[in-house]
Amino acid sequence: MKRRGRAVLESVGAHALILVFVGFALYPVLWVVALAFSGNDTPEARLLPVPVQPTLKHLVEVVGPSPSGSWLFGRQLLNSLVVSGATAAVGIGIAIPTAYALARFEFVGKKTGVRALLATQMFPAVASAVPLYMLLSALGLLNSRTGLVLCYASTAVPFAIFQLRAAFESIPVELEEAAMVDGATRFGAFLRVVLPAARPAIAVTGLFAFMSAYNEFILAATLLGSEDMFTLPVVLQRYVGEHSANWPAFAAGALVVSLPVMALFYVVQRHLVAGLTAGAVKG
Amino acid sequence: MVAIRCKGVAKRFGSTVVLDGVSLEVPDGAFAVLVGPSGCGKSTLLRLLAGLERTDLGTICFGERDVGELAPRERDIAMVFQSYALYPHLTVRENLAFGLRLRKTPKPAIEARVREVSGMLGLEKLLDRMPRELSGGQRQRVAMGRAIARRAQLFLFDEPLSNLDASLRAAVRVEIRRLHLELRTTSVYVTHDQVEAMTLADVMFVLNKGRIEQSGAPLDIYDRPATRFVAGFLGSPAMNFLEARVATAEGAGGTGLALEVGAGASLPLEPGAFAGEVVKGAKVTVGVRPHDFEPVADPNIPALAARVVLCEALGGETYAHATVGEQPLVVRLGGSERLDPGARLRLRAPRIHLFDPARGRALARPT
Ligand SMILES: Nc1ncnc2c1ncn2[C@@H]1O[C@H](COP(=O)(O)OP(=O)(O)OP(=O)(O)O)[C@@H](O)[C@H]1O
Ligand SMILES: [Mg+2]
Repeated sequence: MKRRGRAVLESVGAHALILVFVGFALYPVLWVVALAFSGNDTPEARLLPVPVQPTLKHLVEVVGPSPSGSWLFGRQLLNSLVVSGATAAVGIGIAIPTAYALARFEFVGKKTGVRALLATQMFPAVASAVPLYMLLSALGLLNSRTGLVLCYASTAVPFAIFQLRAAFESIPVELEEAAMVDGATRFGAFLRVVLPAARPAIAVTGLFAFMSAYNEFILAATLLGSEDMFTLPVVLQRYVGEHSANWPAFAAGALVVSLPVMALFYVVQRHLVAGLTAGAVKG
Repeated sequence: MVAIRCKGVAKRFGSTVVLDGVSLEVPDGAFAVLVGPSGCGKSTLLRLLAGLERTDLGTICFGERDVGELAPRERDIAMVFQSYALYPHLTVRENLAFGLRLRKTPKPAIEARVREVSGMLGLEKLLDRMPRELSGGQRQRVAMGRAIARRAQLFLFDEPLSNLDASLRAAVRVEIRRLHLELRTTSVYVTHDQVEAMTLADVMFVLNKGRIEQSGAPLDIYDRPATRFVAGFLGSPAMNFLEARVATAEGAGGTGLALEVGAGASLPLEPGAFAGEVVKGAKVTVGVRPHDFEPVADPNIPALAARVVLCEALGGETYAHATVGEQPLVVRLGGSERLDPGARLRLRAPRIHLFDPARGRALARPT
């Protein structure tokens, strides 16, 4: 009985502690929520993050159709999703075969290639903003989603390659050999055994590429000129410009922008079953 | 089902020669065991048979067909890997069906085969589990099942039992033998466990440093090892080896010859202990299995004098570790016999092997 009481007490204590930390982490987020739904225009410092004079007007202001009648926000959301999705797809599409080759084959120039890839990781993407601008300009891809995707993918690929190479290296070669003995070609073994076994790593890598592109601001602001091409970070930034700061609208926008990412996390999470290769080998 | 013939197969990785002219024949339907110490090239030879590596020299034929140029999938083989290599993202059922699906077997036929194989190996209850939800022994059975399900013409096993504990290993060993008697598929089985080799093999190949030292029926090899290496490799505890010189025996009778082992000790050569010629004065290596020694109680009978170091009692039998001069010996005694450390042990050896001390070739063997 006594021991049981202690276990209950411990459990209560642990939960209280967890609650405190969760509250700590969520407090700023709750503030953003409160701000987004508050009716008073100038935010004031208060302790409790609850909306004052609750309203949806900021939300409508950000998300709703523009005065001209077109739905600009919708288009910008689409820009963001298309650019980020394409970045993830292109990045993963290039990284998978490269990473597999690096993980499984020996070839001339392998070491040098890996070093060069690593070197590209040492410079922040901003450093190349000007050359990128000039390149895209020469290609006629300024102020286009394609141009932005090219830039994003070029930074996403090296990181994705390193991630996936590690993932492929952790998959035992015997799995492929077993598949080949069972009747698969080398490519078939890759397709039917290696790719599925690496699925969690691929999902994480893709998610990471998506998020980086989705959140990226500086290149987008530099390379995109017209409102209908903007991605969401650029849109958001405009609410807190140099001259005026519409914080409630910014907060409402921030919330809306977070939704797709949260949805994506929810979907991808299913694929992140830890240790999917567990059980393949030994006992 | 097919016979295998390898001729002069050589393989090197970089500058290390792993296989150095291996020739072997496995008759159709036989269970062949490749046995040898770690690193002798067993797995490499198996992978050459599977087509996972290519030979540098020599030919490999399945039946009449030279398979040297064929990819693994064209050789119609099934392989059980030491690490099992189950597909981690597929259920047991899908693992069993994988090869059949790749070969475009019709669905009902696949289902029937999976049912049959899982029945044979007791996997029925596990069919919908993922590999990570299985114990080591269960994984091993799935790996076996995956090989059997395909009905390939040749089974290859690379130390399939080495990850199992001793009792499970014994059980699965019997199971493998039973399956082979049932399916009669030509099999090549790699192991460095000599009990597995002895019990499973129809034909055994002892591999050492990339060469086949001896081949034949397991008991023949055990009884008549062609080299000192083979003699020492098969049998547990291993055969005792004593460096000796052929000399005249002290007492009369018998063969009149004895083997001087050093430190004043000598082992009288008994009539019929071996078949073969020995020359007086020659240096030889004497090989005696632990159970081929017999303690001698009568002090008037000439015998090899040894000193006991310690006794290991295993219940059914006792092993006495002893020395003759500097040379160690293991002698099997009855289960209830005990000797104290330091005790004197007088031994006769009714069955002995003699080897050329320089090259290890057998000079004489028990009759
Ligand atoms: N891919 C490879 N590259 C270089 N050397 C190799 C390669 N595969 C095997 N070897 C070498 O070849 C030799 C034989 O290897 P192999 O795997 O055939 O031994 P084994 O008899 O199966 O040993 P074990 O009983 O330990 O499994 C070893 O010395 C090993 O280091
Ligand atoms: Mg091996």
